[in-house]
Parts: sequence; structure tokens; C-alpha cells
Amino acid sequence: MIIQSTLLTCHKGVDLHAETASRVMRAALDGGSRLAALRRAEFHAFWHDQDEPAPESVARLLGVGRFFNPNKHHYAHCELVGAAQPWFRRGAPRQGEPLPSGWPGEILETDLPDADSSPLDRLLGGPTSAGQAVFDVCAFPLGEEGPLLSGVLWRLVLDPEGPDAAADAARSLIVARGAREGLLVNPHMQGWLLNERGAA
Amino acid sequence: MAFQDESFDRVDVNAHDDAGLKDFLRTHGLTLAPAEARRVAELLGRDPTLTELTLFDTMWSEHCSYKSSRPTLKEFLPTTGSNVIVGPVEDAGIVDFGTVDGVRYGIVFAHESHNHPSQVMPVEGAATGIGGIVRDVYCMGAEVIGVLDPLRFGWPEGEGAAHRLDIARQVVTGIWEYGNPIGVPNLGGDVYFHPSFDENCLVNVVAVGLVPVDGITHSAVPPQAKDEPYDLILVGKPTDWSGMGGAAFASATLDAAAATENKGSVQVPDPFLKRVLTVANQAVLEMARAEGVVIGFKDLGAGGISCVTSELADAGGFGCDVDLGEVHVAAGVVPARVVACSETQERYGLAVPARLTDRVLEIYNRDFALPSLYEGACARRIGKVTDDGVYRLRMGDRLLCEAPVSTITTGVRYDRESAPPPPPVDGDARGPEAPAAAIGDEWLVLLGHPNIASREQLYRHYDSDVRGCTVLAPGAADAGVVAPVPGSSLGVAVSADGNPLLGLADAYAAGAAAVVEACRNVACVGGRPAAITDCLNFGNPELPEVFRQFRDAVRGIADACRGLGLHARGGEALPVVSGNVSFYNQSSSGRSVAPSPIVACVGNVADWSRCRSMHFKAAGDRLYAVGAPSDALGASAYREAGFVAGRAAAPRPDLEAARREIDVVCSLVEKGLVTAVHDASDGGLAVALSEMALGLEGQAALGAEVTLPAAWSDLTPRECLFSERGFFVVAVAPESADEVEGRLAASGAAWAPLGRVVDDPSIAIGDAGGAPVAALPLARLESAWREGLTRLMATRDLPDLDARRLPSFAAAPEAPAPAPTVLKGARPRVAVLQFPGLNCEAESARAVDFAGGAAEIFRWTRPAQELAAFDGFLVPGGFSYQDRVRAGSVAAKDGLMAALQDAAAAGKPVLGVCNGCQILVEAGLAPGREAGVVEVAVAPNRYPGRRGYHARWVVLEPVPGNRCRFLEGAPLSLPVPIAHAEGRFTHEDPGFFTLLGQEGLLALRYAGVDADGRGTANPNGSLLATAALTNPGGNVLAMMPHPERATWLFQVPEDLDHPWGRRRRDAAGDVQALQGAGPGFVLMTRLVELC
Repeated sequence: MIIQSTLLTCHKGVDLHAETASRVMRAALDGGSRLAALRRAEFHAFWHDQDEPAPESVARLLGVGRFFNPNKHHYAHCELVGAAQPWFRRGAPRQGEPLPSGWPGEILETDLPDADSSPLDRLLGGPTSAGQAVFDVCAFPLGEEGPLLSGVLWRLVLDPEGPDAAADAARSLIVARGAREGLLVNPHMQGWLLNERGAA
Repeated sequence: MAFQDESFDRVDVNAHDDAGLKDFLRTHGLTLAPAEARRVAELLGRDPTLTELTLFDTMWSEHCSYKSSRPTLKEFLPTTGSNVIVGPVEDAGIVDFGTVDGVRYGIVFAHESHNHPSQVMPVEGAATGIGGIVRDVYCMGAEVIGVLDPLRFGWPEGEGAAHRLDIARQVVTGIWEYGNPIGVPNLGGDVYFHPSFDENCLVNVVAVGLVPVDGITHSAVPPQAKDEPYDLILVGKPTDWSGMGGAAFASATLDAAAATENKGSVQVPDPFLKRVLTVANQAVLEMARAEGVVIGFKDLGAGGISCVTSELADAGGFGCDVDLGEVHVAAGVVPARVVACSETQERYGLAVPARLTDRVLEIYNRDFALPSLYEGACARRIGKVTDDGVYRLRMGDRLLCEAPVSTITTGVRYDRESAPPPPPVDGDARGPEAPAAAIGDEWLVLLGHPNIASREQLYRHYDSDVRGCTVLAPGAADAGVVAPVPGSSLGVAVSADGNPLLGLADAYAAGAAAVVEACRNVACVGGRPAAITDCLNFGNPELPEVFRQFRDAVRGIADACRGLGLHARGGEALPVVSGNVSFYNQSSSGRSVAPSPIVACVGNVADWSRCRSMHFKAAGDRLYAVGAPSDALGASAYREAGFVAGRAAAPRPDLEAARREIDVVCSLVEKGLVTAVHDASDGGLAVALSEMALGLEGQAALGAEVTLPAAWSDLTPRECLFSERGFFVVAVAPESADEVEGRLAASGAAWAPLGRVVDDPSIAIGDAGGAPVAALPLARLESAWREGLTRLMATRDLPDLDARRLPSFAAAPEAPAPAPTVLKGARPRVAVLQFPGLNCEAESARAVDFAGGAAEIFRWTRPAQELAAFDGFLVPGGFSYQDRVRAGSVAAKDGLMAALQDAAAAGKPVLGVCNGCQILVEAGLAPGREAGVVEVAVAPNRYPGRRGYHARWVVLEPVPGNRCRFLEGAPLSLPVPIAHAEGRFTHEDPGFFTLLGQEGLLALRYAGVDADGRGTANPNGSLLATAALTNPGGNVLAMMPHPERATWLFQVPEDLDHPWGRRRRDAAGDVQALQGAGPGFVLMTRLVELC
């Protein structure tokens, strides 16, 4: 049995990376005008076989002051237990394939509000109005082989315009291909997985 | 339910008994004693509001008021001198630097602690320490030219060591994550590990600046406010809860059980905003100077708005009226008292003539676009100066505080009880020594000791070359040296010191020795000690024993300042011009830190071209000791390591002897008579000789043959080798030996010949009779010294030392010295782009000018079409847009880059350096096979044993077949420094870089690697060791290394293992030659030539 542990953190106030990215996407990217909201969280993930010691500890990650500051962050400690290997293992799909639906698993501990929502909604907020499409993007460094994988979880909320067009627009905003195309992921150095919820 | 803001409520302090009042105060996050709260009511003549209590809680904290320490400081410390321009009355002290081209300059410096915050939030605690101290210097109107960080951590071994090492690593991370982006070079510091710091690390920070004396700003409303109305302006981050109660937190015992609450008291740093504010502040100050007006300028630290406004007003003899309703605040509910007193970082307060208020706001909000860079950040008018001496703080028309301003700022005083002196240590008897055969093994143990081993693993994270003025960086010599005024030979030397082992043994000796040691270190590079600043770290001053230690240490500092004197101006005491006291460095268990007086000394360098590194330069050089060891080995690293020799007493400095030694060593350096100088301190002579021999990475080649002088014959060999009394080891070229010996003999200092430097990789030591004492090969010394701390601080994948050795470039092809640029016609106009967060624009512009161009810094808020008027472009290094999303990615989408794309397509030259390189790659200018398409990435460094930022010199070579026009005629071997955290050129298909090579688009690579680009000389894991890309037209060069930091010869390290290192050494003492071209000059020249 494989245990995947994930520490997720998000800003209590304004996330400057998300705020800047959304401003740039709206102003400079084709299709950016459809972006209704951009939210961001950071994740730090590790895994181990349940018969082996964990290579890291969420308690340490929370305590060391590097990843979490109670002044400015909410956090969630999540765990996913199952037979499947983690998605971030070497050789796993990593360029726009679907993010496994079960990840990051159950919340074991958190200071996030809104206990009735899903973990990612608690972390990143839901759609703001009917018809909006929501895309979660998990971006992470390629080739990372250490015991701890750190990356960014983005949530794009797009205004309605048909489901296919929304998916295309999201991908166009996500992957940096050119001056007017994409920002969040440079595919030459980052892997990314996508979870599309579709229009609410 | 509507928020009920208690800030306006009157608190009936007499309605409670002491216990009840204390409970009330603690419930509201206040640390005032009940008696102090009642004293506030007495002073006001009424019950205070909760805001007033919060304000006094900060102003009367130990951190702000020095209520326990001030009488002692005033009693002992000398603070005046003929070179003192501003003494310890403002945010920073200022001493004379000298006059250049008719402009008189002052050296500004200040010292601060951020101990408690760093213990509970190491990254942010250390970062905000740097942030606070540089603000103190900036707000004197100065440019900050360097920072230093003396650090004390818990013991790195045994139970709980993992957590203590985590703190140490994260503090280092906080220092580089903040210090590097703000564009200030790190010039040194020191690090000690000791169990007394297990629960309280010490993070002290020193900032040094330079200011034209007629441009000094003061933390006061100027007298001109009597003649015309002055406004109060607040600029920076929106005020929020962060850091609320920070001063009180810093003034209380650290309670591990209250970890979460403690973290809430740590401020949130933002080096990006600090950098933008710094540049904008300079624009405001320049405008004020141009307008001929005087402004008041003060940073916001402890106590926030209420403190800065009351102190600005009181220092000028005015009052003020502040409306918190005008303050920009963060989203969410922020009570009035939090707005008044929060320590939100990255803010300044200004007092400006009301007629200039709109212009000042325009500079911050329009020219530098603060509101678009950080949600809620801006400059706003928050009040006005009044002439009634009353401090009024209100929220709209609701009054929060109204009191004579002096009532607020005067503070309180305590006369603490001091314990009687302890009985003297029975230290007359010498300890029994082990057999002499063990000396070599003891020597190796000492070299690997965490308190002595190489600090390279730490300081390679720090950017020491930014600003382009660094002459001697950390690790090169005992003190850092900068040449802060281009074209002048005047320099500044700086060092920070303090020995906690000595503090535990004898606080007086620790205070005195810290001064002597700091002065010795400055003297090693020819700096004449000009002044000191101190940071006094102790436990709870309410304990008589702790307070006695504090007083002893202050006495020691004072005696040393008077004993050593001001060397440039005989007869005066060395002045203490700024400082800080940090009490309550103890845990709730009652355990105090070792008494830790830490002293930083600045020295005037008459000619920085004569400052030499500590490393051996040539076989045959003579070695001398200036000063002598003693038999007192108490509090030494040798005894701390468990060995026994000498007497158990801790040595007290002989100030008269130290004064003579410092004086003569300074004069030898000033005369250009030495090739290397090092202070024998921690670990004694054995360690000093080892460090002089080992040099930079992988270059240990020159050893030494040493004979212990006959004059030391009353000492045992161990006492000679491991005494930490403090003296100098000086290396002298044979042709200078007679003159040096004559000067030493005339100086009155004790001195003796030690031996010579040899072309043999070992150090051999014999006694005066010729019998061998110890001999060790440099390889073994190096292994112990380099691994001791590195193993503890590195990541888990650190290879063995042999597997991480760098190749030698000593035999690299030697290019002729670059010729000066010969230009026909007008100088080409080169735009140096300034995106927010870049930090190399000034030195980049200087380098372009030096290469014959006419550089102009082009701010990002200017219209992009104006770029069409330029002939060439340089995108410099730094942290554009805080590396938000990804390094370079946000600036790449800026409208200026579209204009640059057009310019590149038209064949104009474009040079991107470091972050500028990342921007060009993310904008699709490089490699540019398809213009505007993002074709590769520059990813985080990947190198065994370390993560994050890495700064050092590398050697580049052109990639064969490249089509880069910048490299036409370039030398085959080009040493240049790197300084980055994300410099790894990569692609998801590694074969793509082979294709780029085939197409001639790989411009430069790191030399000394294998055919696949692998090897220790590849500093970041770049594919094919790529260091720079070009475009198909060859007119774009995107390079991670910094040519502007290698444009002048003086920027090259003396110990660089490359022909350019030899060239640098050969030019020592020739300031004209050192101000000539360095290896990076050719690239700057090509940028200009291609225009």
C-alpha cells in the first residue's frame, strides 16, 4: 500500500503571483479576456510504502518556516492511501494529461474554512458564477528526483463560451509557447497535469 | 455582526489590581508591566486608550527604549570623534570616508539583531533582519554598499540537531532570498555553533552605506517646517497585521510553548518591493536635492506608523496630526491600533514640504507604479506637521491619541541590579599535554570543527559582487572591501566579530576582544579602523548575573575603543557610532545564550589596490608573526574541542600591544609591502597558516615551512600553534623583506620571522631548535577544513570532496589585455532596461559607458516606442517582478519586449544577462529559431549537494561553430562570475540542445566539462554545459554569467585559478591598471561595436 502525503498551502490574503499572472494573462495573452479568476496554492508531496519509513514529515515542513507562515498562509495536510503509484513518479504522464481525481486525498489536518467543500475548493475557492469552467493545473519541475516534490497548483476560472472552446482557451493560457500564448507553465522545464471540471 | 474596534476604548488602569491588569494587558497582546501601564495614565493625566497603551507598549519595550541598557551605554562608550559626522542618535551612524572630486562622503553603518524572529521563523526572521537594517541606512540618504551577518546557532550534533541545522539552513536561505534581490553585496560575517544557542539562535545584521555629506537626510522634521507647511507621507506596503507586537516580542523571553503566537509577531518580508522602493526613494531624494528642499526620512520598524511619525516630529521639535483613515491598509479588518502600531515591512515615512507632496506621490505611484506591483502598495499623505508639540493620532474625526510628543518618545529607564564580579578563574597552572605526536591529529580536528571549518557552503549562497564595486569578497580575506566611488582609490573595509566561548568565560574580555578582533581583521586589508557598531546579545537583564555580564562586556568594548584609539587620528578613542542591545535571549526554561557582544568595524582604506587576499601568492615569500601567542588557552577552540594545553584562563587583550600591531600592519599594507595577511585567531597559528595555504576551491598548491620563533620559547608548541590571543601572520616578497623588518623593528610591536612559503603542498612546522613539531599535506588539511561545515549544511546528495573538485584553469589560453574602445563619431545609445526588481542596472550602465557606449537606464513605465531611438539594448540581472510565476516570465510579456523583438529583428544588438537572459528566453528572443516562440527553459539549478542560489566565478569558452556576433574575436577562455538560482538551460528533449549546437545557437559553455557537458565545472546542470544562447542573426546574446561584474580588472579575484588571476595579482598596487579592462570587457565592447 502506497501512502502519498501532501502539504498544500495558500495565501490568506492576496497571492501576488496569481494576481500578477492574471493581470498579465488578461492584458497580454490571446484569450486572456475570458479569465474570470486565477488562484494559486503550493504543494509539497512525498510518498512511501506503508511498510517503510516516510522520507519526510509534514510536521517538519510546517515547523521549519520555509513553506508555511501562519501570518499569511492556510494549510492542508492531505493523505492518499492506495495501491497506485504516485503520479509524480519518474515515467508517469506529465504534459497535460489528467490529474488523478483522488489526489490529494483526504484532509488530515487544516486551518482552512468551509469544511463542507472538497479539499481543492477549500484551498482554491469555487466558481464565482454559473456557467464558468474551472481548470486545475498541477505544475511541477521535470526531472526532480529528491524525496520531496514541490510545485504549484493553479485554478483557472473561465467565463462561459462552450466546453470545448474553454478547454482550448485554458490550455492556451497555461502553456507558455509565445509572446501572446501561455504563461503558467514552461513545458521545457515543467510537467503539468490538468483537471477540468467543466461548466458549473 | 459589525466589528467592534476596541482601539478607541479608554482603559481604566486603576480598576484592576496588578494581576488583573496584567491579565488584561496580556489578553490584548501587550507586554507592559502593570506599573508601566499606570505610569502611562499618570503621564497623560487620564486613562489611556487601548491604542495609546499599544503605542507605549512598543515605545517602552526594551527593543525600542533601551530602558535597561541606556545608562550603562552612556556611562562607558565613547561616541564622539573628529571623524564622526552623525553619532548614535539616529537610525545609523556616519563617519568620514573622504573627499572625491570635491564631494565629501560619509560611511553610514548600523547594526541590528533579529534573534527571536529567526528562531521561530528562520527564513522570514533573517530576511526581515536584513530588510530592517538596510532601511536604517537608506533613510540616511545613503546607498547601501554592503551587509554582513554574524550568526550564532545551536550545536549541530546530538539530540535535536536536525532541527537546529534546519534553523541554520533556513536562516542562510532567508539572508540570500532577501539580501540578493535588493542588490546589496554581502561582505562577510561570522558563524558560531554552541549549545547555549540551541533554543535561541542569534541573527545579527550589519549594513554599510555611503552618502555625500551634503546629501544626508535625517530622521527628523527639518527646521524649515517652521517656515512652510510640511506633510507626512507614508509609502510602501499596505498596513496589515503582520509583525504586530514585534518589538515587545523581541523584548520578552522566548516561550517555545507559544510557537504559533510567536510566529504571528514575525514580519513578512518583500525584497522585491524593497528594491523598487529603494530606486524610487533615490528619485525622490534627487528631486528634493534638485529643488533645494530638506525632507525628513525614516523607516518604519518597531511601532510602525505611530513610532515613525512621533519620532520624526519630536526629533525636529514639532508635533504632528496623523489621520489613520488616510493610511492604505490590506484587505480585511484591521483595527485602528494595529494600523497605528503594526510592523508591516517595506514602508517609509517622509516629511516633505506640502508644495512637493503631489510630486512625491507621483514619483512613487506613477513613475514607479507601486500600485500595479503589489496589491495595495502606494504612497499617501497621512498627516501634517504641527508646531504645537502635540502628537495627535486619529481615525477621521475620532481621536486615538493626544499627548505631548515628548511624552511618547522619552521612554522609561530602569537601573538594573548588577551581580558582583565572579571569583577569578584559577588559571595559573598549565594543563598536562598529550604526546607531541598527537599535534597533527588535533590540528585536523580543529580545522574540521564547525566553528572553524570553511564557510564556503554558506557564503556561496550570497551575492557579493552585485553593484560591481567589490574588491575583496567573503572568504578572500579577513575583511570585506569595496571601492564604492568609481574612479577613486578610496575604499571601505568592514568586518564583524565576537567569540561566544570568550563570552562564557569572561564577558569583559569578550567585549574587548570583539573590538580588537574586528580591528585586526580590517587592518589585515589595510583599513584604518574608523568606528565600530555593536550588537549586545544577552539573556534577561532582570537577572543580576546577566546584567553584570552585560556591563562587563560594555566596559570591555569601551576600554578597547580607548586603548586602540582612532588610528587615522592619534589620541582619540575609536568611536561607537551606532549599535543595538538584544536582551531576553533565553528560553522559558531559563537557559540564556552565551554573553555575545558582537562588534563590526569599518576602516578607511587609502588605496584599495593594495588590499590583498589572505592566500599565499608565491613560493619564497617570507612569513612573519606580528604579535605573539600566549599560554592562556581558556575559551579557545582547542580546549572546546576537548584537548588540553596551556592555562585555563581566558586571555584578555593587551590593548597597547594590539594598537602597535594594528598600526604597523596597516602601514605595511598601505605601502604595498605584503603579499598576504591573516589574523591568527580561532584555532591559532595552525589554522591561520592552513587557511592561507588552502585558498579557493581546489587550488591548494603552496605550502609553508615554519619555525616557531625562539622568542616564543617559553611556550609549548601547542601554545604556539593553538593560542587565540590574536596576532598577525604576514607574507612578504623577498625583495621587500628588509624594509618590512625595518618597519617592524621601529614599530614597537612584537614580531618574529616564521618561515617561508614553499612550492610544496604541505605545511611543516618545527621548533626553534629545528626539531619537527608537526607536518601535514595540504590534501589532508583541505579535506578536514572543507568538509567540516559543508557536510552539516549541504543537502543529502553531497559527493565526496574528490568528486566535487573543480578543474584547474591555470593553463587556460591567455588572451592579450583588451584594448580600449576606439570610437568614431557619436557614442552609440544603449538602453539598459529597468524592469521592477532588476538590481544590476547601475553597474551595467557603467560598464556600457566604460566600453564606449552611452548608456541610459530605461524604466519600464516609459512608452515602448521610445526604445526605437536606441542603437543597442542590455537587459540586466536581478529579479524582475520578483520572479513571480517563473523567472523572467512576467517581464517577457511586457510591451517593452515586443519593441525589443522588433529591434532584434532589425539587427540591433541585444545582450541579456542573468535575469535578463531568462527574460530573453521566455520572450522567444533566444534562441529565436522562430521569433517570439518559447523554445527552451532556464530552470532551477541542479547540482549535487546544494540547492538554490549559487555565486562564484566560472570559466566560459565559445561553443565551436557558434554564430554569435558578440563572440567574434572573443578569447578562448573567459572567466566571469555567476550568481543565480535558476541558470540551467534545459529542454524536455535533451537532443534539442544538440540541434541548437548544430545550428550555431549555443554561444558559450562552461569550460572544463566533458563532451556531454557534465562535470563539476558545470555549475547548474545546464544541458551541454550551456551558459549562453544566441539567435540566428547572432545579434542576441542571452547569458547567465555577469560580464558587467568582470568588466574591470579589480573585479577579478586575486586567487582566481586562471591567467586572469595572475594578471590581477600582477597589478596589485596599481590602481590605474586595476581600473582597466577585465575579462568581461570584450562582451561590453562588442555590444557597443555592434550598435
